[in-house]
Amino acid sequence: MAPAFRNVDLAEIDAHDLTCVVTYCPHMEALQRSIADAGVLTPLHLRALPDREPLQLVSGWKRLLACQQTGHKQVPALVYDVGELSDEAALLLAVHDNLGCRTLNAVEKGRVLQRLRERFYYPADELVKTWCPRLDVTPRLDALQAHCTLINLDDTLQHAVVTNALPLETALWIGRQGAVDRKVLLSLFVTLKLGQNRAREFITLIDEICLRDRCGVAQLWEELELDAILNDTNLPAPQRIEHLRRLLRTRRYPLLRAHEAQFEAARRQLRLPSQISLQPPPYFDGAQYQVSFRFGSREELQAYAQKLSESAVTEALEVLLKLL
Amino acid sequence: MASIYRPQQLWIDRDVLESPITAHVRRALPQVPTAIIEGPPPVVAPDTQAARMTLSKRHLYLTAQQGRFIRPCPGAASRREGGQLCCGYTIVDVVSNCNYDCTYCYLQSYINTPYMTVYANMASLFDELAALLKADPGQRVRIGSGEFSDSLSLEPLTGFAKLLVPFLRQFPNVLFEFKTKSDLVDHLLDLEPQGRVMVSWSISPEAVVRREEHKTASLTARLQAARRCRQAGYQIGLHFDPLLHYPGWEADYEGLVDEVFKYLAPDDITTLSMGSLRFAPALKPVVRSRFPKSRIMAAELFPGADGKVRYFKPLRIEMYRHMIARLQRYLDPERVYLCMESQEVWQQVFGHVPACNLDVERRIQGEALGAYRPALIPLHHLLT
Repeated sequence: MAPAFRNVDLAEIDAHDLTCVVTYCPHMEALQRSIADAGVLTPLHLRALPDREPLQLVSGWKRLLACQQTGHKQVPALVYDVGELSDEAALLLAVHDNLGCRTLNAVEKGRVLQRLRERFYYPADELVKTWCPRLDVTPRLDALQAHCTLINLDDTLQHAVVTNALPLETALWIGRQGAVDRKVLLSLFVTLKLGQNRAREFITLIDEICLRDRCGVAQLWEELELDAILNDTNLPAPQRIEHLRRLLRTRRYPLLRAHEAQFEAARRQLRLPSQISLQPPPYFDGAQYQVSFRFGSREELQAYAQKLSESAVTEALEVLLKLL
Repeated sequence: MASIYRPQQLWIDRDVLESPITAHVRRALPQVPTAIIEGPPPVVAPDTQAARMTLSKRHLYLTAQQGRFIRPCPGAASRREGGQLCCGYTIVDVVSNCNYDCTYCYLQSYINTPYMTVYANMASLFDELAALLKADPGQRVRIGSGEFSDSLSLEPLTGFAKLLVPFLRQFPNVLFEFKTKSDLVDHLLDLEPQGRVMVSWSISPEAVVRREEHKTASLTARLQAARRCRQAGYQIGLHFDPLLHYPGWEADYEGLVDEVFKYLAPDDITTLSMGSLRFAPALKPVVRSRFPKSRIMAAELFPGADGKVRYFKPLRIEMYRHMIARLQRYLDPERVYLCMESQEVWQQVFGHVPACNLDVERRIQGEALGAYRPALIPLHHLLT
């Protein structure tokens, strides 16, 4: 049977029953203005449940909220009688109603996937093959898992993902840390607004330092006094990021950084002109340095050759060669 | 004792139903669900390499090797001027994948099938081996089956050695190596290897075995097995590989060297190699996913010119020197060789560099080479 159309009193609707609601963090302002001006133009979907008086909301949660906020007493709705709309059909109706008019955010996608999986036992491969593409999620098991995990994280993390303050994978990683560490990390990533690649680099550095040194993030933070840098508003964000990165890399790769420092010191002692570039092999894993320069005249070439020749007898060069 | 492998499902390709290897496996696994199939097993491969590798340990697939059994060791890919020095090792691909679960195992980023594969068409293998070994009887070929699997961990199931060792008796110019972390040698002891077969062990300090080499035999069990094999006439190889760098490694590895010589005399050991941890970059996320508590990936590791990730060079040199200093108490360090290391590392560890890869091979085979020439197997010597 088709649902019955009628104007329903708001009091008839169980506004706390969010069984079919997938919406997260809705933007209400425009809808509130529209409903205040023109009323509800698209009817809600409601259904009657056995042994329960109030009607359950199937779709139209934002419209219902806006009605409550703008003082409406009634709302137009399509009402399904008891047994006309199964639990699964109700959820699917709600999902398609949303998908038809907007892109779901990551938390909403996670809610859909999680409910189909846990409430209606959709197998993982069906979710990956059919539902991930529908929701614009990469059709892979790990992407499915990531979205389902997201909805179990702290609300602050979910919110940060939805507002693009955190990449999803960063949020998931932060979510795996303890409560104290989560707070520190959230502050770092949200304050600095790191891009995906930079965020990955920071995650890897922090993760591996903590794993190796058996310490927590908060402890690492204190030891490196990173808070002072993070909150130094005199420094522009890119410089703060670079400063933090340097400190983390030094802690993560102490031997390499010591080598790099020795290399820099010895290179300065050579007093090569800036036009002559001296490069060690990557990570000093090789047997030769590379020197390169450009010249435009016989005199320039002679001058550079003279400078290189002079550097060949310095102690600094001996230091450089020992670094290989 | 190393764990005996028991898959959850056995898949048998119809092509190898009559193989003696197949018969041996079926006798050894009477309770395991078995399916006769044509083509690869219908095992759904998970999306991630980590999940694929975990799943792969549960399925055993017997099939025919469609390509070559024998090929040059992949280390040979870096046989180029100024690159890594490599030996003349040749590998036999009889089993692909391993039932053990070492955290650092490079197979985790190399194998992409969700099952372990045993190539059971032995007649083809023996044809290839015979062609190779008859091609130049003046060359002594060093060849082994431990590159894509542990050579002996499936032996109780396959009975491979019982077929191979007698077959090799007709070829005096071969040194066949079973490389293992197991102690599963009972079935080898009465096979009369006649100097053609070496059993070698990758060995690590017991702390590393417990932490990183899951399901393998303890260090003591490996060394006891080595002693038994030596007494049964096998040549013995030891590989201090991969050397791992962690707090306290020095004392652990000194103890390891001392422990070896409680079970073996220096002259019992035919070949002795060292190699530090190295892997393709793709391995790192797999290890972090499968073994989140393992700290091996948190060391100072960097990609090198050959694309493989290794410890920072000064660390590697320090580790090798430390090992050499300890080994020197027992044997001539010139008997030791480095696996897949650069010329400058050889230079800094030994004070000199082998002139070429053949020189490395001469160093490895030592006096056992006798009148033979060492072999670097060119591809045209391999049966196609």
